Amino acid sequence: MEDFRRNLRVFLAFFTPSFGWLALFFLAPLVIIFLYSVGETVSLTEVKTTWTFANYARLTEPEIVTLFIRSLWLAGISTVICLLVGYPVALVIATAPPKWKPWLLLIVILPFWTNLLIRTYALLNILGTRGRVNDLFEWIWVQADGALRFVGLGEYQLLGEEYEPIVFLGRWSGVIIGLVYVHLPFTVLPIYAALERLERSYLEASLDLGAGQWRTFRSILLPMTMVGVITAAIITFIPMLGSYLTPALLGRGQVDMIANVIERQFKGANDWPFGAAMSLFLLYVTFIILALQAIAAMRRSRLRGREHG
Amino acid sequence: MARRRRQRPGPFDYSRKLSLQMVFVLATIFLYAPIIVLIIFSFNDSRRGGNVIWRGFTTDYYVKAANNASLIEAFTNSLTIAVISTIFSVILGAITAVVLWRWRFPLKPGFEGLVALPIVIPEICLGVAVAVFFSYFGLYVPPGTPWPFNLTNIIIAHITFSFPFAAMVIRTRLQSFNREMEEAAKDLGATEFQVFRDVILPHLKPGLIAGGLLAFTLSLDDFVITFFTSGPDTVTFPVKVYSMVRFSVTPEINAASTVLILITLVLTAIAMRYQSFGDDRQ
Amino acid sequence: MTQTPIISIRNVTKRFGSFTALEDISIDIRPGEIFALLGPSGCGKSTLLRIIAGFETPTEGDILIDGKDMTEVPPNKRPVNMVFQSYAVFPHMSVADNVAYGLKMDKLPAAEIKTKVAEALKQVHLSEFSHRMPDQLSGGQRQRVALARALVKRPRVLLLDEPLSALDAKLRDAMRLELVKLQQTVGVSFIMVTHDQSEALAMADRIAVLDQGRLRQLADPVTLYRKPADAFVADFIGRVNLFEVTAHEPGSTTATVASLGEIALAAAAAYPEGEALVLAVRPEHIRLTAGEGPGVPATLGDVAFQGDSSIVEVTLADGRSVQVLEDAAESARLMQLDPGAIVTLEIDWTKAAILRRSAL
Repeated sequence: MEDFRRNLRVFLAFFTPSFGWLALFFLAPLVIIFLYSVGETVSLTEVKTTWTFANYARLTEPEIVTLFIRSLWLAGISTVICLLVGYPVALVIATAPPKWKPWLLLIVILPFWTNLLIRTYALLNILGTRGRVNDLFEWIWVQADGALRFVGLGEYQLLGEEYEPIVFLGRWSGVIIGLVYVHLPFTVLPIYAALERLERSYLEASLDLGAGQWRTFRSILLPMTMVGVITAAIITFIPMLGSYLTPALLGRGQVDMIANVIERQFKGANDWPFGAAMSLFLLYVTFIILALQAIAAMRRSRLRGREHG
Repeated sequence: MARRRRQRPGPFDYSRKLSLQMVFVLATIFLYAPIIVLIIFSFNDSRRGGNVIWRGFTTDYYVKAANNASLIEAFTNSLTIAVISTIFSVILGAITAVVLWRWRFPLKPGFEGLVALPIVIPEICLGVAVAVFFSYFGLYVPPGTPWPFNLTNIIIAHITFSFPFAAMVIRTRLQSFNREMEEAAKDLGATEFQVFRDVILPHLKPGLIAGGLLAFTLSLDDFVITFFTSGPDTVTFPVKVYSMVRFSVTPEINAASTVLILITLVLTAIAMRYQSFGDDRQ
Repeated sequence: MTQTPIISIRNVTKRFGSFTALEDISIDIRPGEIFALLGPSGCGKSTLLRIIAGFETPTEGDILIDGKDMTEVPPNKRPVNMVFQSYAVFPHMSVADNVAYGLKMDKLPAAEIKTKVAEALKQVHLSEFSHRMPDQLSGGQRQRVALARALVKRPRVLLLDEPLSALDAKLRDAMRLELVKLQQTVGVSFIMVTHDQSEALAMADRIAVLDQGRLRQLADPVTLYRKPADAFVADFIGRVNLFEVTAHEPGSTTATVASLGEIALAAAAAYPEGEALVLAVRPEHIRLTAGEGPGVPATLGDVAFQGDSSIVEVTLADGRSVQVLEDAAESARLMQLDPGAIVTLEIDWTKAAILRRSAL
């Protein structure tokens, strides 16, 4: 790497467009939205910056607090499900024969390349009360019912009189399925990368010292890939928290998350300052999560570096 | 003669464990079943409740989608936006990657963070911010602006969120560049420009292609940010589908979606070819 | 030898697909010895070690430890422990935790673990480092942790995979001696894998030379050096000049050797006619004199100075080059001569050996 002063003109020729674009179309919008968040609506399209904190104060209203808690809960539980499914999936890919690996990875990544709206719409199609998923469950119900009849338990109607379709849409279950569906590929990749970096001799050493499979997983494999798991959790959780499309389509307006309410402030309620305050709050939450991770990473490296000198 | 031993899987052949294989297979079914059902029902001969009951094979809805002027317009808009924003994203991304790779300068970590920021912040925040920005400065596209200039605002928004992704991909490729190659070229008499053209650019090519395809996909994929920056005359495919889905579900959408999935598959295949092409040369 | 072997490797064959990594290997390991598996890379020595540890299952054959068949027993249930080539010291555990890990698996009481860990760390001179994390240690210190971690379990046999290859030259020499001393103190058998013949010669009580999955020779270092079983072993252990025997017949006292012509070689007569033989002469069994004389004429080439001795390269009449070891005084005299000067080789025929090209 060379010092920027050595060839200042070339440096500026590269730096200016790059920084300029971000300053104009990224930083400036963030500044304006901050100004809006401390302003008041004057007319239909005009917002005046009055340095009020009223918009932020409204974030403590019970329904907004409930909204935030619901969003955190939905994103949190979906992240946990993604991790629980993603880890074994990554483990299978990482230990597969080298010839297979790229193809198994492709299977997991391919949905990511498919349009988000199309994927959500596809899920919407099969999750309805008359959709394919309920068809499948009904078929299973009929088989189970038939089996019960066969063994002479038919008159008790243990499974109910007839199949009751499970309602997913407009319920939190539908939103969680959607969130997991959309973000699972993101969860797998960092865990896979961490597993791929791990030398197999560590696992062998653990086994050699008398630890069983499960103990080796708990004491060696999981701790040594924890960095990947944390990265996976963060890059899954943050977009989930800001999800708009999934709750809008699968929640049918009955399971709102933060983004849906923000959108309403801009498109329906026309309360831009409050919408701006909410978006900035979401942004702060994101920053806090990232900062916590950075601090944790720094402490880890300092802990190791402490006795070096 | 010693007896032959049964070969049991090694202790860490997780990929050969039945329970884990089941998780993988179920996850794959979960990821693909909805899309496959969608594609199948795009051929369903049913007007109402098109995605519920199978009534026979037809390609009518592809014809119908192709004749739906507003859907086609939205589709064209999406592709136009994707192409233009990809070109800009690759150029800006490459420039940014070179800045981060080549120079040491004050507040560099700050600049690095700034570049990464559009990647990490929630889409809704960026969408809201850009929309408010355009309205604050009164930067509305006047009605009647000729195509494709009526898409300017959306394209600007798309470049803003996709070029940092391209920059990351290109930077990763740059980092694998052995600077001794540059020195060797100079030692053999090449000028700065010749070094760039003959040594750095060929090395960078797979990164540029990968970054470009990523930017293209992101642009084509985006709903939230476009939703905030688009006007009534500048509807993109995802925004159009969203508005259609809210009213009714028709096989027409399935047909149009299937076409887009096909485009994505082709692009992914191209990306993979270049990816392996890049690896071969390492 | 009537001692019961501590490990018996019986007719072990290992195939990966169509590739044969090990072919019908049988070795017995005795209590309290340092045993080296020596060979070039890809000869199968590491695979054999991993079969003993339990990470690989042999395609055919058995592994017996203390007379019990262990072939199907998983690595965590075998009374052997391994020091890995990369050491595999767990980076997220302190030195003490690393050493304690195996004892915890044995469910020993905490107090006993503590004393045993302290004892093991003292043995490898790491007592002051017990709370350090592995990335605060040097390569040599990490290796000691790996040693202590394996030895604290009191294994029947300690397996070492290329134990010195990751260390720099000076540390390697010191560690050779230390490993031998450590082995004498703990009295546990060591099986070490190495590609470095000087390491094997210096440390091991017995050495098995492997090549392409086959056992070429199993002997103590002196026998291996003095009486190599075939040309491969002779070439692999130490320096040697190999001359092809082009013609010999049973009963004759002479044989024709490439570059040297017909010479008195009664030993060759013991082999049937047509058997591919070589004449092996170690560089230290040749003497050089300046000028012409009774012996093999040659011209002087490079002299590679090694401090206490030199390796002198000479060229025979037919262009073939021969290495000769000379002491410091003699090589100083030779260095006075111009390259290309006429010299005479005197070969000590009593030390020269007739070997099969291949023992297999």
